[in-house]
Order: sequence, then C-alpha cells, then structure tokens
Amino acid sequence: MSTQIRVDLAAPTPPYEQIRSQVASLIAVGMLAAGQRLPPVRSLAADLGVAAGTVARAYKELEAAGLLISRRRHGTTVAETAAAMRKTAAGSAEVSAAVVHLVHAARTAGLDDETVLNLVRGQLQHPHGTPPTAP
Amino acid sequence: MDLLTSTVVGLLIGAVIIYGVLRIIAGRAEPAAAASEGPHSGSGSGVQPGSGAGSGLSDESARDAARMHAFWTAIIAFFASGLSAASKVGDIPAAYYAGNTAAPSWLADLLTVLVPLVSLAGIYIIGQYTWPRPRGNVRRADITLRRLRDYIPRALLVVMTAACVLAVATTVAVWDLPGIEGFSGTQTFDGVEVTGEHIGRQPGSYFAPILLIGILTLAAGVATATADIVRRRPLASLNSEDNRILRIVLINRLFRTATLLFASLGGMAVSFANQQAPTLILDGPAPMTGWEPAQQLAGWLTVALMIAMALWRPPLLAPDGAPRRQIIYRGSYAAGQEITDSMHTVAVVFTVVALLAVGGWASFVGPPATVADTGNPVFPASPLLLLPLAFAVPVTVFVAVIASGEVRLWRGHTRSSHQPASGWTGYDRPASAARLVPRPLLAAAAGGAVLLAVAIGFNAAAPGGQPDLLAAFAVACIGLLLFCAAAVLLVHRRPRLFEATPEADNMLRRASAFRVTRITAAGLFALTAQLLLVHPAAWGWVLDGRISLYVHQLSPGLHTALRITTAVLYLAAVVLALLPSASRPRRSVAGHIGHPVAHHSGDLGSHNSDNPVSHDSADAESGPPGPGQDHRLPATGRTHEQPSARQDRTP
Repeated sequence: MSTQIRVDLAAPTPPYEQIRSQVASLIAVGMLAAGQRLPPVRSLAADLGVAAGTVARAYKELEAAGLLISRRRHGTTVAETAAAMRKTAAGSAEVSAAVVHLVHAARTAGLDDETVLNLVRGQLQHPHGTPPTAP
Repeated sequence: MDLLTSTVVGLLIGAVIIYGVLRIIAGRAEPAAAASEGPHSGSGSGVQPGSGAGSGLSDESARDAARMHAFWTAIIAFFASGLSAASKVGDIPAAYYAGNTAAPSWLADLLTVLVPLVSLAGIYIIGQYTWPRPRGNVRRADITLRRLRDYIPRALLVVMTAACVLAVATTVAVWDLPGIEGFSGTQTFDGVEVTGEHIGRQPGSYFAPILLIGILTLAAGVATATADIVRRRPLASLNSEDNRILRIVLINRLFRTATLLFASLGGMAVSFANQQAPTLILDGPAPMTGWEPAQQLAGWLTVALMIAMALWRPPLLAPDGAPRRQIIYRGSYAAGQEITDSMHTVAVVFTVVALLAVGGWASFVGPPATVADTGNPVFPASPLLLLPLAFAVPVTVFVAVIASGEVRLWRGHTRSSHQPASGWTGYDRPASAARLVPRPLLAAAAGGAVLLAVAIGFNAAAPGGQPDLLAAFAVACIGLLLFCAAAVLLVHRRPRLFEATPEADNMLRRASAFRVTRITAAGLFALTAQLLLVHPAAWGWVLDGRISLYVHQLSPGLHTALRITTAVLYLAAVVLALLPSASRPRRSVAGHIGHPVAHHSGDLGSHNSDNPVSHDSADAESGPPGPGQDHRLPATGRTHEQPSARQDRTP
C-alpha cells in the first residue's frame, strides 16, 4: 500500500474533498504516522496540478477535524490525536482485514472504484449497517 | 543602454532561448497515457504508465525524453558557466598604461565573474520549469514529503563544500595584497632603461570582494537549484523510482560542475596572488612571490578534481528491460554490499585525488632552481617529509573511507544485541580477524613492511644517511601498519548485519579487510621503492663498497640493478593495489541472498561452531544462481530465499 493519492477532476466529488478523504483514510489505516510531515500546500498542489487553494482547503478541514496540525516552523504534520483515533476506531486489525478483503473481492468481480465506494457509502448510511443476508 | 541593463537583457534572452530548447526536448515526455485515462479507471494501483507517483512501468519515450533533457540541461549549463573570460579579472591591461583604454570597471569585472555562475544555477532552475504540466482528469501524487537529504549525494556534497571552503579561504588570504603597477613603453629599473610592457594588478581589496560575491552567489545558486530539482512536480509519465533517479542525476551533475567552478575560483585567487611585479632580471632566478607552492597545489588539485568529477557518474535512468534497482532492506547483505561497494568507489576516487595532489605537490614544491657554475639549472630535492606522504596519505585516505563504510554499517545496519558482552559464540561468531584476510595477502603486507624496515635500517647504518628522511619513512611505515590493523579490527568487531546470515556477513567483512590490507601492502612496497630511489647511499655503501650520495655515482651494474629493483617494487605495488578480491554475488542477485532463516542456531552452531562456511567454500559458492536454481549455499544447505513475512522491513 502506498501513500499515493488520486484526484479525479471529472468526478462529482470536489477535488478538495477527494484529497481530504484520502488523506484521512491514509491516517486511519496508519500509512501516515503521527508527527509525519506532509508536503507543503504549494508543493502538493503542483504535484497534482490543481490550485493551491484546493489543497489548502483540504488541509484546513483535516486540521479542523483534528487530524493535522499546521505550525509555522514545522509545516503540516499528522496530529498525535489522529493516531489515537486510529487505534480506537478504524485501526483494528479486523476492520483493516475486512477492507482488504472488500477491495480484493471488488477487483475479482471487476467493479470499478466508484462503484465500490458507492456500495460502502450506501452501507454507511444505515446506522448499524445492513445485517448479512443468510446464504 | 548601460552595462548592467545590457547584461540583464542578455541573460533574459538567453534564458528564453534555453527555455525553448529544453521545453521542446521535455515535450516528448508528455503523459499520453495519463491524458487518455478515463475518470473511473479502476484500480489506480500504479501499474499503468502515467502514474507519476506510482511504482509501475515508465513510458519508454518519456524516459528517453527525460534522459535527453537531463543531459542537455547539464551540457548547456556546463558550457555556459565557463570562467575563461573571468581569468583576466583583477588585471590592469598594459594598454591602460599606454593610455589606449580606460581603467577596468569594478562592476564590469563583477559581472564577468557573476554571469557564468548565475547561468549555471539559472539553467538548472529553468530546466525544472520546462516539464509538461499534468494533463487529463486523473492526477496522482505522493503525500510523503520529499526531503533534500534523500536525494543529495553526501560524498559529492562533502567534496563540493571542501572546494567552496578552500576557495573562500584563498580569497580571504589575497584580500590584503597590494596592487602591482604595470607599464607600457620605456621604464627604468635600477638605472637600466627597458622598453616593453607589463600588465598591472589591482589591489586585493578590489579583487577579493568580486571573487567572494561570486563564490557566495554560486553557493546560493546551487542551493536554490537543488531545492528546485527536489521540489519540482514528478513527471506523470515516469514511475516514482525513475522520478527519484532523475532528480539524483540532475543534482549529481549540478554538484560536479559547481565543484569545478569553486576550484576555478580558488585557482583564480591563487593566480592573482602569484602575479609577478615587473622587474629586471639580469642574473639568477626571478624573485619569488611566495605563492608558487600554492599555485602548484592548486593546479594539481584542479586536475585531480577534474578527473574525479569525470568519474563520478550519476545513476542510470535505465529502460524497463535493463536490470532494475531492487528493494534493499536495512541490515541485509544487499544493503551491506551497496554501502561497501559505494564506499570502495569513493575510496578509489579520493585515493587517486590524494595521490595526484600530494604526489604532485611532493614532486614540485621546493625552493627554486639555482644556476650552477656550469650554467645548468640545478633542481633541489623535494622537502623530505613530503616524500613518504606522497604514498602514505593516499593509502590512509583509502583505509579511512573503507573504515567509515564499516562504521556506517555498524551504526545503521546492526543491532548491538547481536554482539554479546561475553563474546561471540556459535553460529553468530564472525570469522577471526586473521582469517578475514587471505594468508598470501597477509604475507605480502608483512613482506612489504619487512622490506621497508630493512631499507630504512641499511640507510640508517650507512654513512651520509638523512635521519629526517628515514624517520619520516619509519613513521609512515608504522602509521600505515597501525591504521591497517585498526581498520581490520574494526571490520572484525562490527556486529553482524541483522538481516544477513553469518556467511553473507563474513563475505562483506572479508571484502573490506581484503581492500584495506591490499592497499596497505601496496603502500609499503611503493614506500620501499621510493626510499630506494631517492636515497641510494646505503646501497652504494653496502653493495658497492663506497659512499654514493646520488644514483649516478653508483657503478653501472649496481645502477641498473637498482633501477630494476625499484621498477619491480613499484610494479608489485601496482599489482597489489589492483589485486581482485574474492568473487561475491552480483548486485543483481544480492537482494535475494544473505537473509537469515527462521531456525538457524543450534544444529548449525554445533555443526561447525567456528565458522559455518570456510573461506574457500564461501568463495566457491558465492556465484549467482542461474535461472531456475534456488538460492542455496550448499555448505549449509540453507535456503536464502526471502522469508515470507517481511512487511515490517524498512526498504
């Protein structure tokens, strides 16, 4: 698993939201450790070929969510609290294994990324998820 | 249009032309695959070209374009940064004294120095802005921070910094030098009228600030260009590894050119200081400026640096079909091999540089030639202490670099827990210090030391001996032996690489110990030959029965024998220095071997408790496995395939 993020300019989701969600996911699965520095806004914007404001907004929302900390001298780093949240919430081995299994099953079934994400979003809209159907 | 405006306009026009040329070359790296990628393209796993930050294959034409772009950027920058026009800075032309031209302008001289230096950094910076912008709807980027230290070649940085510091020191040293008045036409010296012309020299307070501004500008430009190279966006049509190599290639070329420029600026300062005042020389040697040794040293250092920079090649941006760099795990045999081999390369380069610099210095530094009664110039011998240094310093440099490689392994690739306080036992035991070095080589080193000791002894016993010279040779001999022993002991004492088997680890130890002993033996033979050559008094006394202070005073037979013996000793030194070490696995397979297996202690330790694989068997079995073969070392029968659970290893 890499720390690569992907922005689809043609997708209905705004680019800043795509950046925000992917960075949040990378923090959630532990790919970005607490204290790790992220690229400066301009640098990441240049790499992605998007406006600096797009990346700045994503960083700002992640900062507001307590996942990132921006300090003048240290740049933007992953917050310590983000690591704690990962351990207590999404970081369990069971959830990670389920996600890996989901991605593998989706690839095998030939589903594209957007369809998989829609399925997950649909499940997340139910407060307790859909109970598994009997075989 | 005044000078400053015309220079700036000229630079801007040049920048536009260079931008256009590099943009055309870079245009071939357009990410066609990325542009055609649809909005919902599936996995995004990085296997397709055009990922930029991904680890998949690069687009072949884009890689060619990147290679060409890096090449032309470096070539244009190299030629644009030539300082030949600046070599006249600080001079006052003779035409000025004839009234045919105006006095040199400080601003004009400053711009003459600055323009090439600004051009170097400017062209590299412009080059980073000529890459195509990301196109297509799908963009990728790596969220990890690109740090300068991950791309900068440290050894090259050290050399460049040393050249910069030397240039600054030389510039400061010439600051207080007075100017020299030239003349054109008729001038009277000591009552003698001379007609001719001689260029003058500006005072140091005029010249040194120009040079200092130039050096600081170059340093700032290199820093800015390096930061830009690291910061520029990844090429979408290259994978992450090729993008990384491309940055390293550019930084390597930038540093190499900058190193030569720093050396040239330092050389300019020395040449400035060494300029002769006009005088009438009727008899005897020309008056000394006191800067002659520095001039010689600067010349040799520049030549040595040019050779070193020509050899300091960057990594290759290879096509996908070519052997690729493997993932190298910390503490593995492959990591150890990469470090020891790269340090060996650095050691060879530094040794050649030291040999040329110190050897050249020792050969040329000295008081000027005097004119004997016969009318022939007599060249005095070089300063005594420099003679043994000519070989002792390069050998010491080599050993020090190899030892620093071992320190790097110790600090970054071993765990102290692998070295028990009570000493080594069983399977983990490294080869003994004596067995790290092949016995014939050990015998050669000992033989060289004995030969040198005997030569020193004969010379000390002979009348007319030079105690200072002999003491210098003795100190060099003892110093080399102690340094070699310390380095071999360091190699022996280093804990085992935590991801390498003892056999693989011992291969690395043997390679380092072999290299250290080899160069020491070569150095001892070279010192003996040198002593034989420069101090033949003892041989004349011992073999010819008379005192012969010079080679040509020996009898013809002895003279010939002495020459042959010296040549044989030098030849032995060269052969020893180039002696190939025992074969080891190639880099292409190094990543697959040398990892410890899960169960490797008890039975194997008792099987051969001293050394699991003898030196001979390790050498014989160290060749790369062929296609379809498994990677086994038959002596132990243990597989060296990569263990399955390796997710926690640091690449």
